[in-house]
Amino acid sequence: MAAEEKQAIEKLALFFYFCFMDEGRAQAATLKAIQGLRDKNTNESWNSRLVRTSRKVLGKQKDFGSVSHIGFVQGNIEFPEGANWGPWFEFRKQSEMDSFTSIIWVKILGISTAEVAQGLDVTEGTVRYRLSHALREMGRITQNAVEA
Amino acid sequence: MEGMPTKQRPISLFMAQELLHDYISGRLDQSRRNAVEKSLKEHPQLQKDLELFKAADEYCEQLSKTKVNQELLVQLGQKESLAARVGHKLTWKRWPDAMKWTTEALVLSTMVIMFTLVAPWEDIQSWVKWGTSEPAIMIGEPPQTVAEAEPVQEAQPEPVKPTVAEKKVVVVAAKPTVAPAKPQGVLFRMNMKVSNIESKADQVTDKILSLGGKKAGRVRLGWRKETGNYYHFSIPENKKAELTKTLGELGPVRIYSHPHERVMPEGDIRIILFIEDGPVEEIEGPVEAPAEPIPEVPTDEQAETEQEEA
Repeated sequence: MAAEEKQAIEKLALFFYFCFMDEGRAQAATLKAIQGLRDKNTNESWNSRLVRTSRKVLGKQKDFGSVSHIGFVQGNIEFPEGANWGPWFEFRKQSEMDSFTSIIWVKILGISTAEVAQGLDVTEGTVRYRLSHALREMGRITQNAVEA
Repeated sequence: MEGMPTKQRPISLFMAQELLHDYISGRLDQSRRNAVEKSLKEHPQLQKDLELFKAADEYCEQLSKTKVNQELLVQLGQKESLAARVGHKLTWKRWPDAMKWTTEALVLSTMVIMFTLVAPWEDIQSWVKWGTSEPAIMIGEPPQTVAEAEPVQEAQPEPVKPTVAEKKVVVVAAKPTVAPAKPQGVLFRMNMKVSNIESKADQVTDKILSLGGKKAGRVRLGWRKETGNYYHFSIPENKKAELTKTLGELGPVRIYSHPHERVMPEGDIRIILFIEDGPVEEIEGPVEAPAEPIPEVPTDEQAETEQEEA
């Protein structure tokens, strides 16, 4: 497996972990998305392909908004020390899919807004707009969590 | 324009809020940066928004350090989803040969059945009928052609190539709406009953041959049918009386004559003699019936054809 491909698979896995907050669902979705990631008939970058295929797989999930618990198996995901998952859980419940996914792609996985825009077939301005709103919302949730 | 002082562009609070993310990301040009900074000083709300962005950025920075176990990554890279596995297995190249042949046979037979059901057979038959070069074989021959041919070869006449005009005549004659050609010849039928005919069959054959008779039709003289022996032959007309007399010695003979479309050469007649195996009938002498048209096709000739095909 090439280094780029391995990196892209890791990003895919993380994307779905952050989306579903359930390891079983995340792995199943990752496996589906990997097929799209390996599509040779495209000149897109790995990151753009990743965005395209992950959005496609996520769009087929019927119950995206119904998250009631965090399901991680110990050892498969290495959490950052002292991470508080409460704000993310809250953000996941409150935000719309476009805002939510744009934060994961750009801020957590480090994909550029241009590559996200290419993967979604939208303008870069649209991505920045979604991101801006998502960050303001997340900042509000984070601050509330600190104050509480 | 370089070096020229840039004109300050004032922006509204709403505009400043929308530009805040780009300001943090460092995407704004200098004049916009100055405008946003000026708004930040003027609007405490904007400063709060800036704090929100920074808090969100810090939180995302922390989450971005989340990693996936390397072993799991390798497993994910090697695994295929169920759909991919099924799709892979169903690839045509991976099918067993027997399955491929069966599928091909099924597809082909389905196509043939569909074609058979859908094809306009009536149209095709009409195309074939009009397109064939030898329609006369199915229909029969014009009388003049038979008259010139071998006298007794009624089933397999000499292949005289019909001219264009003749073909036309034949085709027209074949149409059911057109009246059939007028019969000109005569066929004699002789029927009699003789007990134990099998033992006398060869004797009758020899007599016919000795009188100059020649086999007609497709079966040999004296062909044994279920109930008797069958003789289809041509014979000189002046030998008919002698033949009748000879047959009369075996038993009474019923003689019928009826018109037939096939014309024999002059001086020759065609006879179908059937001697049934059974007790001799009590009739005084041979009986000859007048010539009457018999509309039905003689079944004996049909039987000959069937025998030939068998």
